[in-house]
Amino acid sequence: MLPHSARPATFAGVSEERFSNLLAAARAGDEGAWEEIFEELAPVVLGYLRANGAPDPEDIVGETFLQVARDISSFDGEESGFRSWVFTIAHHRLIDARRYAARRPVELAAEPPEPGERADDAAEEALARIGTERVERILADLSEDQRAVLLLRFVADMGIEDVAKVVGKRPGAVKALQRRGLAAVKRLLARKGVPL
Amino acid sequence: MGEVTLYTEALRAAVPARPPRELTATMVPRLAAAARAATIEAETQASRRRAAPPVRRSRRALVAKVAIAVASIPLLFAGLAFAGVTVPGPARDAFDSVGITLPNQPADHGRAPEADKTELQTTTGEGGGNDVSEAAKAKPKGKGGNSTAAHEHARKQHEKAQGKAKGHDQGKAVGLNGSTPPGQAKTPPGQEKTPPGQVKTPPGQAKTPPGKAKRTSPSRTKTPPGQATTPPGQSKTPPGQSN
Repeated sequence: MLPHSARPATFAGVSEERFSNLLAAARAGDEGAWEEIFEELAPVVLGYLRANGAPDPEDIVGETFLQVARDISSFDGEESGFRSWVFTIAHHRLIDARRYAARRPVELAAEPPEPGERADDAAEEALARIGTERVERILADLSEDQRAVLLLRFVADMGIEDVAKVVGKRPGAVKALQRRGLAAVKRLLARKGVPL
Repeated sequence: MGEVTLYTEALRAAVPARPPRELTATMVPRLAAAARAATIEAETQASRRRAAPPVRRSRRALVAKVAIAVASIPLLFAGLAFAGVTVPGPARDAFDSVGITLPNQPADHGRAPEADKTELQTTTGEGGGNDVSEAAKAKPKGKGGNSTAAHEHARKQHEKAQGKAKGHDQGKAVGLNGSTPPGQAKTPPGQEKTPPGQVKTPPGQAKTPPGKAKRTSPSRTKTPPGQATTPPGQSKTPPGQSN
């Protein structure tokens, strides 16, 4: 289990009051507020979609945020609830895109993703030791559900309950998926000889 | 640092990807405009809901509904009577009391219940219908239901009814055609139907004598074997005449 201090904070340093003001400004159509929301959440959502093999991740990010903007007047909650809501929309869009791609397979030109904002030192150090390619390869070896749960838990920094809502499973099932996913990661790391 | 923790840390650094700058530049104004429109729409709907007068369920409407329901009851009975249905006595009496005579109703509807009872007794006591013989009345019922005497009586009644029948034998009651009364075996116990040593039909001898058809109606005779219905060389249709 990760220590809580190691988790990245989206809307870093944003207090509850500050978040509710941001939400009110976004509802009123303030561009500054939307820029902040988009820059905070879009990289994580895009990374989540890419890691899950979304056919056209940028498009799905655009669709996701447009739906967020259309429905923001009906949203009521705090920052973690907002993040969970955005990821729920993104997850549903991902499923739709996968279904669509399965019906009409399209040859996609693989574009190397632009790296996100600099993560904290611990994360950077870990990535330097394992290597981006190896991280992605291990992620690709996991099952679809395990991958989604690990990404939502450790990249989107969501709680078990919120992840359960996003993937449409019970919290117990999410815990089991996380446990099995981490066991698989451990096994794959040992096989691939990661220097610790 | 554990290997799993190391991996999850690396995941946090590797997965997030900055969206292309063009995407951010185009998306932000669109998102703001969409949110503004959605908020205006939601506020308009909310104000419309607030402005709309609340649905008032007046007492007068309720009273009217009840009155219509009550008034439809006599109408229903009248409709049934017109359709030829015999409506119950109390309903007819209610109509009579206000001077309305329902059509298609039996004429004897105004009788007292005592008269009905008397008539019922008379009907039961005299010849018409299924009456019970004195013998059947006198003898107590056995364990197996009706007594032998009652059964005999029923058989007589049935034979009488058969005599009146028009000839077809469909719908005959089962168990009354010369049957044995209940609780009484056809053959006394210890006695076989056919006396021992005596076979019903002698072996090698058919029930029907040979050369005698079992059911041959006098009007229709069977064609003897080896003889066709139409003589050979002679067709059913005369030559030169087609069907």
